[in-house]
Amino acid sequence: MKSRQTYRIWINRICSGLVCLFCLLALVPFFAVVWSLLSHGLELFHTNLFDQLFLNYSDEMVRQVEETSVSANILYGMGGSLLIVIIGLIPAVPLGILFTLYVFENRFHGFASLIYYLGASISGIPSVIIGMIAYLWIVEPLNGFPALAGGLSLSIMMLPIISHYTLHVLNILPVGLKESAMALGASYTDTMLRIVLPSMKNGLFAGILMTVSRMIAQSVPLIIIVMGTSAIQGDKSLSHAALPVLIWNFFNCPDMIHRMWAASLTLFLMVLVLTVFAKCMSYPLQNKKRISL
Amino acid sequence: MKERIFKTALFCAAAVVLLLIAGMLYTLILQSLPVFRHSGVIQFIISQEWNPEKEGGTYGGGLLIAGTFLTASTALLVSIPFSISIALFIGAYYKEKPIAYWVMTIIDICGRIPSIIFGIWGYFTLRPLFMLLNIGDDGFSILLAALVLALMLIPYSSAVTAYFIRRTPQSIQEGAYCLGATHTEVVWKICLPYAKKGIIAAFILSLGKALGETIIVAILIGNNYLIPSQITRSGSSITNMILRRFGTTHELEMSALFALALLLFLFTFGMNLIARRLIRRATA
Repeated sequence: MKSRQTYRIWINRICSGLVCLFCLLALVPFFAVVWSLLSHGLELFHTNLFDQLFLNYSDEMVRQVEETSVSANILYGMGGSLLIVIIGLIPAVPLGILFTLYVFENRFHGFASLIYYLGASISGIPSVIIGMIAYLWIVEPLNGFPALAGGLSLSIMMLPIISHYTLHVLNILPVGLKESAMALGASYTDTMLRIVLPSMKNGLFAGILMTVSRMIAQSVPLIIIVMGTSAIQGDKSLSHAALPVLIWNFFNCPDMIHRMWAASLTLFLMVLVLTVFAKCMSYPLQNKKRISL
Repeated sequence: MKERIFKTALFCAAAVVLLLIAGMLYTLILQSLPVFRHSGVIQFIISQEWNPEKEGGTYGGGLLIAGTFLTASTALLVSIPFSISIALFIGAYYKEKPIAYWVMTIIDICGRIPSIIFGIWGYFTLRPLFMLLNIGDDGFSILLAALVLALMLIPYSSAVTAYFIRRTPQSIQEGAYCLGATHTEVVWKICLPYAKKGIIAAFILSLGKALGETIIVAILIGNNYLIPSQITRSGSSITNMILRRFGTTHELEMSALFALALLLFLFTFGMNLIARRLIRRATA
């Protein structure tokens, strides 16, 4: 009897130890990633990183015979990234909120829940496909406008994320709020527009910041669109349109590798700042009901 | 009147989302029709030759599909023990302790590292290691891509898994403790079976993510059009092919790329629907 107990205790200790060990092992590479970012990137921060610099394109990505120089600088890239994300936010935020309100209000109908599943499953579509489609919908018919196409691709990818955060906020909103507005005689529209939406303001803002922090790091749709555009127009000035695309270009230029680390560190810091800011904003919300998915 | 406008706006938003998905599917099908007409759907899926220079061009996605699934499933297999360990650490073993909160925060931040950064880290840190060990062609291999891919999957799958493990009712766990169960017995016999559906859904979602991941695979897989017989050799995948060849002047090749995208779309979207259905059952 005693030996059986000792055996069980030992099994418990071994399993706990293994869990801790694997957990630690899994964290090591992440620290290595951050460490190599910091060690390679920081040494460039004391040079004039945001100066105008010239990229010499001879890479296979652009696949053109002649070499051309295009000015590319990290500050441009940051501006371009923000611009594309803002273009994406303009349609995605109202659409995402209205879509989620529809689903939430009709949540007991089969049709609404089907739509919600389909909408949420957009997040599973690979970004490369969304980039190809945005290219086909905007760049090819209009013969240009890659920033618009980038914005469209990001807005498609934002939809499920904004919808997720909106649903989260709607779920933690007290039911009594809506009911008391209705009881006081407010119409359905007034209740929604004047009571429900304003009280969701902070949570929604935090959700949008989270979305931006995810979208700003998206590289693939933008690279696809830039590649497609430079193929039909031969114009490479767009190749520095956004920070992730700039990193990809630096990566493909052998003499620009050191700049690549600095650009990557800048991107990571941007994502980090946005995330921390959004977390601080959503902290009071999380305290009400802890859901993290 | 105002009422009706608002309700119509809500309905329109839902319809737009539906139309968006239908539109994407329609565009992909329309664009991939030429190559399907040229070589037939089945032939396109199983054929192993991709040669735009040949007379008329031959396009087959067999190797790419195999490469994609091989990379993604290897990555998933590598990530499973680590994700489950992290999920158990923050969701069961150290649930109430401050360290769980810190690990969760670190994992959350790691999940936000852009995938392009993982890619270049793999290229400059892991690839030299692989070259030293003489694995892969010049360091590039399916295994290298899968390892870095697994790194990208771990934060996501562990967060979702931990969410489901935490959902195990406290009363059942306390009941087990009262009967004299150890911590590990509660975790293995109560928490994990209870969260089973959610965990499976989490890994299906991760597999979908791994199938669609582009930049890491494109940097590390080696871009070699080979039969993926060994994971220690370089290879190619659907997303790598699209990223390398998009914007090509061969019209039929563009169509073939869209056909590959269509296949990937169907795989990943289908997986997502299944996983979400499972999540719904798990949370019901």
